[in-house]
Amino acid sequence: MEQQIEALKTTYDWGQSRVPLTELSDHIRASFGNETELKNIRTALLSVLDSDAKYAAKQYVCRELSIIGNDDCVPALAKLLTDEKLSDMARYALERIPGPAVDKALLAALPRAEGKAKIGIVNTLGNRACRDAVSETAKLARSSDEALACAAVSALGKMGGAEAANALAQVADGVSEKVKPALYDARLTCADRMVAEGDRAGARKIYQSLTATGVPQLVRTAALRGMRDAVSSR
Amino acid sequence: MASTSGVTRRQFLAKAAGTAVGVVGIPHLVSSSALGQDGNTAASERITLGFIGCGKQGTYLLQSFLNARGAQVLAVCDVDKLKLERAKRISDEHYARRSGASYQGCGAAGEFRELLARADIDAVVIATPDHWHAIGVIEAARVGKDIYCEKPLSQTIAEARAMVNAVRRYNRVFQTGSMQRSDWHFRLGCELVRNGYIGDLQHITVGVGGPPADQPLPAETVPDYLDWDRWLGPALWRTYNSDLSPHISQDVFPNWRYHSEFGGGAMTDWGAHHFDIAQWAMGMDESGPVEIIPPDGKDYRVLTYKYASGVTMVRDNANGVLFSGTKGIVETNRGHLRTSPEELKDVQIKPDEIHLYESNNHYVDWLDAIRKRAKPVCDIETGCRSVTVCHLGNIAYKLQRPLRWDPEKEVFVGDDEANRLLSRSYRSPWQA
Repeated sequence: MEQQIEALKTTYDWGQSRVPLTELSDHIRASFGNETELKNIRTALLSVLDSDAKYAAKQYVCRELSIIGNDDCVPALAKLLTDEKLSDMARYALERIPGPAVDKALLAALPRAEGKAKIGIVNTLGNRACRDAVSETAKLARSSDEALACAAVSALGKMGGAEAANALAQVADGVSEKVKPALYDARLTCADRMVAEGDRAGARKIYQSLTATGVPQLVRTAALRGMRDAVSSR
Repeated sequence: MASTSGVTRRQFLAKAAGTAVGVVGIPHLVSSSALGQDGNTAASERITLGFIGCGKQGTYLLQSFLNARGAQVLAVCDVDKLKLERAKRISDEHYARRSGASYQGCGAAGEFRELLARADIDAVVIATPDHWHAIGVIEAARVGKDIYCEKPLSQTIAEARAMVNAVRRYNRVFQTGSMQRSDWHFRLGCELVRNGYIGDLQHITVGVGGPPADQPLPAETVPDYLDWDRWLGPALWRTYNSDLSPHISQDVFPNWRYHSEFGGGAMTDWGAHHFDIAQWAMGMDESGPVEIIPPDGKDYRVLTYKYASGVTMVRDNANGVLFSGTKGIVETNRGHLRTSPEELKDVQIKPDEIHLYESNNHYVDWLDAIRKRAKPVCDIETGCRSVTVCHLGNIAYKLQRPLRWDPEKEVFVGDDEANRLLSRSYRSPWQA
């Protein structure tokens, strides 16, 4: 493994032979269930992230860590979250690593991140359905940066639950026309999740509010369909 | 389409036409061609289309729909200016030829959201590289467009399910581009299997290529006609290489599909055809296998799927899809149907036997389904389940170990690493 790691640190780039990568990936797969060896591999991969390895090499590392990464990998990956160039690949790994350590790291990075890195973190919190992030995400739903506001409302919908539902209801009157479609969809997503989790009353309240005059016909029909399905799934 | 105003474009036109002719009597307001009196489809019945992705396959689809009765292309979109200009030119020249007058009316956009924002477009045809499918489909559904999307449906299993949810939520008519479902050779082959003409189905051999090889691609200068950042979209950034998006002069299917960030190799490319047919013959359009075993050099020479019914399916040499039963075989491919006993291929399926959905033109079938607000031959759930079979195979190859799959919950059983591969993170700011 040392040879492959060295190649990653010093020479690998787009267009070069992928043999060291393939050999390393094969070794990782062969180590399935061998926690001692996997720990060694994680340490070796993280050392590439901390080196002057090229972007392509670091991206390969993040892809592998997305499969075998654990809490031990979170601090090193979290350091990259606010780096506009490396943030996407760090999220690529972190988004797949289960557990609260990742959620905490994402939340900690959120206030420090800017631009696309910030939007990406919001997207990942949403994809992880991280309910601890509801209040921080709700603040961003009112952002004047419409791309960030869209990301925030969509994330709230995916997080689901009563708190996210309330947050979405509260921002409903204050968002711009550009954010409204994302908001409607997020509220429907939130309601669907509540149905799946057994909170039909909470879901019904959302669906009902989306059948009001002024809401686009497409959304009103979707809300009515949601209400119907919620009843039939009892 | 169901516009955000609540009145569809076609409803509006139908009402306007009725008013003009029948009530107010101002026939000059609506042309006879708009009313369908010249043998063409009335505007109120015409389905207006936008095209997202105008490469080789997108251009083929554009030409097919330009010649489909009752459809009208209003706009095209691509991140490659040369391909965009070609698509606009093909469309404009087609309508100019048909009307006998100059026509420059086809809109052209480099940004797909511009096209989706047009209220006069009923439906979209999506033929982008695979990594763009989910975003295109989900955003199109959210604004009320009906959708034709090329196969394979998605880049991940989770994406496919999210696409189904969006299409169902907004009640859109969706056709997956697995067009073998509109070829009688495959339909009859599947009907023979479904009706027991080969006895009990035991084994299926599917002839498709393997997973993406991820061959090295050196960095090249991004050409000035291409928006490379937008071509990458939700995929992790990488340097440009012309193998991924070749110049318009190269009339080839590009190789992006053999790079795992953008496609699933021949497993998803051809699997979305041939595994799709296998699923059809098994009646598995809403389900899938329960076990996936990669080649292990011992007991399993080739990729093997096991179904709860006991049927096994392998990726191996076959001319298309080979079904083996207790009493015979059926092998089907494009223009090919071989059976044993041989006379099976001449069987007429009886009225009281299972008849599968009959479509003889994948594009017309979708347009008809839009008019009827019905599911076409390859609805999105079918596309989702078929691409899932392909992704399951790729994941088994990647992890190099047998996997158990719960087709109802759509999760791997007892393998957390495999479950991580159900979805992937998007490059910011993209999300679906």
